[in-house]
Amino acid sequence: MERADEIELMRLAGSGDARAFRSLSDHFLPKIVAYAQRLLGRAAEAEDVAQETFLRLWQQAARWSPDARLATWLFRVAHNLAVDRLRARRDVGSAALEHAVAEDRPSGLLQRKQVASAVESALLALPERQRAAIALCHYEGLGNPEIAAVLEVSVEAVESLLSRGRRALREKLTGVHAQHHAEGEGP
Amino acid sequence: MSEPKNPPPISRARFQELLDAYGAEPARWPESERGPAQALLASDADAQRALREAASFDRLLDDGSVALEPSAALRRAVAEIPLRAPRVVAMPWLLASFARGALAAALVLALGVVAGAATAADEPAAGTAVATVTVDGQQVDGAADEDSLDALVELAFNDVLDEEQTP
Repeated sequence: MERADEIELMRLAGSGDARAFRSLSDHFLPKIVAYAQRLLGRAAEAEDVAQETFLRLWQQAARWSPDARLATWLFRVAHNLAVDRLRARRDVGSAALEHAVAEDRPSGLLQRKQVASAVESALLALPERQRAAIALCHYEGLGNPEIAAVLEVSVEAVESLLSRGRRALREKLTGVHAQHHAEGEGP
Repeated sequence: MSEPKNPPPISRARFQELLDAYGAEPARWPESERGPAQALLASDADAQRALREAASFDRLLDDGSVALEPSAALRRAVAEIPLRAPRVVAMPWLLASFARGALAAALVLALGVVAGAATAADEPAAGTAVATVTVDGQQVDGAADEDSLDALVELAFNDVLDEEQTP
């Protein structure tokens, strides 16, 4: 979505235009759901977070400043809501994150499912901020300044989070990576 | 501040750090280092080999984490938010103050009429009247005393005064 379109749609949504809100949610909802899912590992919780994020957008749209990037604000709200849920899980000692793999993964080849299961488990085993940084950089394509704004850390800290996160993933996925790479090269 | 026209070249070690943090896709590298990194890549076989390794790991991450699609139920619930959720109305402070006064005056007038009519018709307790007012989608039944007027005005503008984080 072009920046000018984003500003105009937010202006309209701020004045109560439900169609403008619908255009914004159609555009951003998939990104927010995917991000929440990668943080939480549970589809139902990810959808709850996404719905709450867009409820806040609607309620706050009239106060939106065009200086702010909407995507950054949405990711930050979703991030904070997801982190609250992760902390609540820890507080009640619920199932370990490592086992909270996605239950709604699209069907496909068994080998592909095994790769997905390994990668998702490795992602979910990362510390929360490393996982968030990788989700925002690798999967959502945000730049360092935007990631820093979402996570409320310095730009320098983002690179450190990414480095440590990818290093941990490489270590956990060494065997899977070798197999995946060999199959990708073909006979 | 704009980027220098000819940014300094980056070392092989720094190039590896970029791959380790951001992977092989140049669009993910910091903007200020993208040009120098690509310049190194064009002439350095070790850098090219390191890039291929990083790209292989990127593919594993891509294949291994499929983005969850929003369900039809979620899309519907989000689309219906404007129908069921209260709104924050942004008003400059002075306008909000004026509107507060105007609303209070209108309520006094309306409740006075109701009280007068009720008194004429029957025997309500002196100084009170029952009225129903809808404010911001919420129906409020209240007695026409000063406290209830304050409560109604507060309800109407509570969100304006709220200090919540804004987008």
